[in-house]
Amino acid sequence: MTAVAQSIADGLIGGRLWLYSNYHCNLTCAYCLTESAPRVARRQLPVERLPEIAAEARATGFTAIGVTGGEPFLVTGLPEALVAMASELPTLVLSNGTLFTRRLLSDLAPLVGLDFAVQVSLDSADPAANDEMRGPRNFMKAVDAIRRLRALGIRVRVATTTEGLEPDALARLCDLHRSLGVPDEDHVVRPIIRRGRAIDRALGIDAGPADLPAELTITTDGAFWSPFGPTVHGGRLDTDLLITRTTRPLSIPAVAMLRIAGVARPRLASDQPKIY
Amino acid sequence: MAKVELLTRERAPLLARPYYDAGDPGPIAAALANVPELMETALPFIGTGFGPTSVAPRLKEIVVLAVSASNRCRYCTETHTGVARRMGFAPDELAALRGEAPVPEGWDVRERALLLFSKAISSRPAEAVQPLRPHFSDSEIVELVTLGAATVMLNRFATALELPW
Repeated sequence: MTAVAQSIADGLIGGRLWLYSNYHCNLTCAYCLTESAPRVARRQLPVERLPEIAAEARATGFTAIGVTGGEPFLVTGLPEALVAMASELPTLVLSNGTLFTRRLLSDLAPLVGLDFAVQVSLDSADPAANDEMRGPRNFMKAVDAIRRLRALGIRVRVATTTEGLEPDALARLCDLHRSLGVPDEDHVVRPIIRRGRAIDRALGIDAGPADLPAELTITTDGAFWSPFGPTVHGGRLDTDLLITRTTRPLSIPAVAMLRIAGVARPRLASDQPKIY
Repeated sequence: MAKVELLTRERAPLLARPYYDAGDPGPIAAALANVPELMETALPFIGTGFGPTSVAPRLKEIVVLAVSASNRCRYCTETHTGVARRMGFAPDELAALRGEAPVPEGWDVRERALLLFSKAISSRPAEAVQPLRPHFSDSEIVELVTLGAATVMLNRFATALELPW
């Protein structure tokens, strides 16, 4: 067992390795951690790198992959990459749910039957409340995407990002996702983290490394402590949760993360890169 | 203004944070913090090479200041002029190390040899050890060459990045 696998088994770090496929997005959400928008710097991981990282993740001891952004489905070639990734490890991709055209759904068909899920953002059962944060007509498009993905046979999770839902609003939202065929265990409710655009809007809660999930996150700018780490504010990448700039071999940021997490002497022979 | 961001404590990466615990770590560390895995290897190396070792601090400071002046590194020369002054170097000694005055008459043969070594290590490295040979042991020569070479590296680092002094 690798040091990473042991640390995951011991609960010291999370088993899911996150990848920021890109930072651009067709939406401009009010609380976006990465200030994503249509014309921001793309900061895109080469799409051919994604399956390579997934294969390396499995060999290193990680147990699942998460893909986020930006809007990942703006990346050309993503469906093919996801097929390769989901063949390595259970794969979850986060999406705003607005781009699922008939053609994209057709490209996703090979994922049916693999351990793969799409997590669609939906913040309220009230279209106006949802669209206030996420943009015009977002509610309608997201709900439609959930239906289409489910009809195709792809597992859908729903993610709700909120400053705090009243019990009756949460109940209505749960009624909605259940009616769409998404069970309670596939509904994630999380607070807005005050990073990125949420700082300017004075939204959300402050969170440091101890408050955020210890889930290694790979971006084109380096490796971070958590998927909430590689945020952008004022157009500048935040570096406070940066672990290493080196991401290949994956053992370098993974070993560094274990040291930060307090794992003693994690430099096992199997984790050492071959330098010479 | 430096050519790269000098990371503040608020933007310091996780592995770099210990270097900010005692306050401003200085521009070399603040620049290296952009690449934490490099920083946490480079700074202990620099700290060992420039810190207390078997060679006396005064002799080591001769090397650091003279090499820096020879390489025209303004950051390192100005910074280490201050360090040397605080260590007790006299004005005529500082001027000699900065290449602005002749060697002080009171210097012994070891100090004079170090000055010759320091002027050679960057431009004529194959000849640099020769003046040290009669006056220093092998282990001291290794230390001094490591210190001189590390100073050359930092001179280039500070000059290329235009670190503020």
